[in-house]
Amino acid sequence: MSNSKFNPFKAKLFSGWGFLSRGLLIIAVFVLLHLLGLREYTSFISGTTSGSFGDLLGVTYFILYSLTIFVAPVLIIATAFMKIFSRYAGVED
Amino acid sequence: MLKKFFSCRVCRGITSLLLAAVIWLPNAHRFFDQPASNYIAGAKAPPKAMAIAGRHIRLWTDPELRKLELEKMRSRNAEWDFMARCFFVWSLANMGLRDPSLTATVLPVMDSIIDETIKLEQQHGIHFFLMPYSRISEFKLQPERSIFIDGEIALMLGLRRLLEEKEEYKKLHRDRIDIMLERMQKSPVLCAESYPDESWLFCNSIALASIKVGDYLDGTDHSEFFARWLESAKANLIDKETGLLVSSFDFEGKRISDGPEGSTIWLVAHCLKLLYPEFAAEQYNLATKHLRTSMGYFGYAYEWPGGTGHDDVDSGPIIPLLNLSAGSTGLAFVGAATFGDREYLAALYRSLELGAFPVYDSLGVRYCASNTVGDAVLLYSMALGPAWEKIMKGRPADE
Repeated sequence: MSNSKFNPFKAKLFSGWGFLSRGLLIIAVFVLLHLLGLREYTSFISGTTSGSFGDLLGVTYFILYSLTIFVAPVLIIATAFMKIFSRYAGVED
Repeated sequence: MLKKFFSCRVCRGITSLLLAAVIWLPNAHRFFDQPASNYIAGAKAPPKAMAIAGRHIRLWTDPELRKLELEKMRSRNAEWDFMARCFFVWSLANMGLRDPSLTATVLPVMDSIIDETIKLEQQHGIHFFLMPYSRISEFKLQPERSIFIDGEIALMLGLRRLLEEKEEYKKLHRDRIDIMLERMQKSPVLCAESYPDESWLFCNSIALASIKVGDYLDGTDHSEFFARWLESAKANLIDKETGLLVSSFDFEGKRISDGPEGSTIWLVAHCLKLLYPEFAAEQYNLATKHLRTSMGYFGYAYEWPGGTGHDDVDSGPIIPLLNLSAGSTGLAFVGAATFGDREYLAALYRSLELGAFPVYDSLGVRYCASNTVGDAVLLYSMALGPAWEKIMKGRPADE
């Protein structure tokens, strides 16, 4: 029971851990793609490559990068608010 | 009441997300802000320009590296190979004019690029640097020549001479100017073909700038031709809806192929500033009105007015929803730098750091989302200024 609570894939979406784990997961996947060298494939943006499998890798990197910049920090900050509101309402997160 | 609201998990969650978004999203841009000194030149070229130039100099002095880069470019578009050379040489000329201590370093690189480009043109003909459709039909004016090639080479020669005179280049420069003038004057709208029966203002405005550079260097005077050209452009090449100059048209100037587009107008405004500063500023202002846009603090440019329209090889892929065009945005740096639009420039650099994926290494910096021509355009936007200023002041004897 408690194990599934901390599993990022099973954690409730609207919970402190749900936000935090998903935020960290996005960052982790992005870091992995970055370390695999997928940044190079973002040349699809300027049309330097076109129609190849590399473009798909570039698009994947671009999406994960955007999520890391704009979504993951929101999820991580929201974790703190979730904790505060739970404590205020006297309910379990 | 509030406790009851927050005892609901979904209410808590949505409120938390909204508050977090209100905190994060308006502040995310701070991580991508660049100090203006990074990209606006003072007495010397800014650090970012030096980092890009360093990489390009290495590219042009290391045959293996150059071969790899040029093959990558040519596999998509032979024009990019050519334009990367031109923008880089124009950048080096401006860097040398701004900081004379760089002259000895940049001159051999400039000469090597100019010589190799002219050699390739002589060996393979104009089609070597054009897209394949240049062979599909015949140029209206024979023998076939492209103002795209002539104008950009002439500007390379001219700016090289402006930095330091070279007798060997003087004749080459003058010959190109004579050829361009002859062909431009044969067109009813005073614009020569870039491709068969297809004239581009991008290329013709560069040609005009290179003729003006020639006037400055050799004391010739084409002011009457320049006045006629402006009159013709205002009468025939202005888009009625936007007031912007169109991009491409047939040799007669009767059929407009492409209306105003970002990948053309930003550079056209830059070139025309040398001849018609007021008209160029007016075009830049109209371009910002119709093409400049942003997502929050991140600036970029549309390819087509209002953001609607198809993508093509000049625009690069247009990113859905944002309607962002890499081609137009790249050249918007040149426009904003030319007209001292610091606010737009800062927003563009923020976007560059956010979405162009810079990679810093021992060679300097390059942008993964860009390519060699994109980086050269960016370098030019940071270097430009001294050449135009010098010419606009007039020849010493004229003052």
